[in-house]
Amino acid sequence: MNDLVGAGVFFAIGVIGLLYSYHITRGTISNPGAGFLPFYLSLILVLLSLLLFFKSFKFQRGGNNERIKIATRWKRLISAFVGLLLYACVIQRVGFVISSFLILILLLRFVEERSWRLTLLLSLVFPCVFYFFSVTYLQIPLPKGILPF
Amino acid sequence: MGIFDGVAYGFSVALSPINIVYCFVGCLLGTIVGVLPGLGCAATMALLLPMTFNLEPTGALIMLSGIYYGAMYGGSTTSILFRIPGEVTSVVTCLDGYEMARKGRAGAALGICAIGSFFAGTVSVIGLSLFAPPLAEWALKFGPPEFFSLMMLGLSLVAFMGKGSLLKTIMMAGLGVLLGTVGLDPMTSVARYSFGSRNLLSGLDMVIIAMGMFGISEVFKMIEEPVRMEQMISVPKGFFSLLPNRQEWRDSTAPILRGSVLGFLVGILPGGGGIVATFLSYGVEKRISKHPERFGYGAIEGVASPEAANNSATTSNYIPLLTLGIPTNAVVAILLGGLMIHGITPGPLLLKLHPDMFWGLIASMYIGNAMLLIMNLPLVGIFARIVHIPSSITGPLITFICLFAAYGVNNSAFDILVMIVFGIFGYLMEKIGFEPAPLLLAFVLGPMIEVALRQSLGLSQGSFYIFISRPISAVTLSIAIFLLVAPPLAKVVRGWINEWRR
Repeated sequence: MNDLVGAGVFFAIGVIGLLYSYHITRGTISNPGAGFLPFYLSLILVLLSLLLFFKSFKFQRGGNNERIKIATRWKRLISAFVGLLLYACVIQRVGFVISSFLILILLLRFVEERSWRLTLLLSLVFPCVFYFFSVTYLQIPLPKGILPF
Repeated sequence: MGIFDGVAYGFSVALSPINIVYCFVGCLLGTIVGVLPGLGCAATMALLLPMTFNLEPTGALIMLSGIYYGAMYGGSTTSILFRIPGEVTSVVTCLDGYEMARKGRAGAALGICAIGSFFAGTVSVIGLSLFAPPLAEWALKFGPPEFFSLMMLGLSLVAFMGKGSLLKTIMMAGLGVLLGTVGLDPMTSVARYSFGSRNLLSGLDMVIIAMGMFGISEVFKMIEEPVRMEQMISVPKGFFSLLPNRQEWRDSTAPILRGSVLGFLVGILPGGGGIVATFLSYGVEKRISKHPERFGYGAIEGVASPEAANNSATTSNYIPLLTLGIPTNAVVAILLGGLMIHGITPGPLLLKLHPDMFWGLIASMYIGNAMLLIMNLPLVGIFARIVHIPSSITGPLITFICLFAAYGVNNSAFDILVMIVFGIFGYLMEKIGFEPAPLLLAFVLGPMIEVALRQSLGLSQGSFYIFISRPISAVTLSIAIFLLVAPPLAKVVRGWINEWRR
């Protein structure tokens, strides 16, 4: 089962790679153009994924059917996935301090179930300290967002 | 500049107060990272890279290197006391180290680790100072064909890096090379795989991918399954309990020596890193031991030799990086990325153009090794206590620092998105048996190989003869091809022998 999924993923990546490099000049093997490596590498990935597919197929018929272990805490994982993706999308508008505060609350309180006291302490202190540190010392202009400073 | 002048010059650089501080900070951070399970060396270095942009490059390199070899010291502590390898390279140490601890010799095991690591690290730095300059001198004559062949060798050795199946490792490496082509083509400036996005035109950033696949995906693993403490051995109290007794000294002197040499040799090879060195040296010790049955039940040789090999390999990893500009494993690849951000291209010219950095780094390793020995022996109890910080606190904080650092690389929120996507991808792929390290290394090597190939073919007007007509290129390329063909070939041959025996 593991290998079937893996083969599928790589097959998809290879096909996407083929489609998007098809129009780039490939050149010849003795004078490769910009599209040479992407195109043939994608082709190789497709072939390798087919190889993995048939290998796992043979394996499964031999009775060796191992399943993917699904985490018992998968709901928390999904919420962490979604929260982090949202963070990346809103940080520019909402600002570093506020979005970091929210993501730390999500991770500490709702994913890891730490106490509210610790959660609030850490999620207030860390973003503020890092924000101050980076703006004054590292000169990384973190997004201010909706906060005035 | 002769080697002794060079080392002396290096000490004058490394002993400046600010560089001593960098070295100390690096070693301290490294030890902490090594002790903390879950937070790997690669992730930490990727995290700290953006924070070093403001430092001058020599100091940054000294600190990042300190993290690398410091983590190798720290990784063994948790292996011995908790049977949790703090780093992948100290997996072997768990076998006999934990057994020694259960028999009440935890102090001796920790002591021999620190002493063996110090000895091996020093041997390896001496080797580095002796061999790197002539090699760099020689490598000045290399052209694109030589570099192409050397990097092909590096890439084919990647196949041996993974623990899992060969096919999967190759697939991950292939994907790494493919990801390396994203952005403008370096030769003709044609956009590849930019999907119409302006952010992707400049290509994917190695540091971002490393943070995603090694930092964020580790956090996901901790969320899925919190790190559990096994039965813990109490930390030995007092300095003298860390000293091995006379019999243990006698048993471990030769293994430390063998481990140092073996680790040094393995570490020079591209693709060879601490993991290979530790397993190899454990195997060698077991093979030549008069009492192989003691291994796995607390044999001190099984602790001393792999730990020595590990630290020795860590240092000799720098030889291909500093002389050829070729990274040998994921951690060194991040170091390379860091240097490039500072506008310094490691390679044969490094010694000529930046002797202060070259020799300063080498000298800082002598100093760092001594610092680590001093730090690790008496303070081992304090470091062991770090493990007790639950992963439910470290996880969110690591995530936060990753988010902060990812933004800092290019001041762009898009990088955060890329990091998260690679974090999720890396986590899921590792779940089904695809490891991230080959991808990262191939990602770094891929574009370099492509450019070298096209430059070589430009030189020879399209003839592949150029790779065979030059002796260095011919030899390395044939080794690379042999290595790629060898594993399946070995399988076939083994099959024949088995059949013939029947």
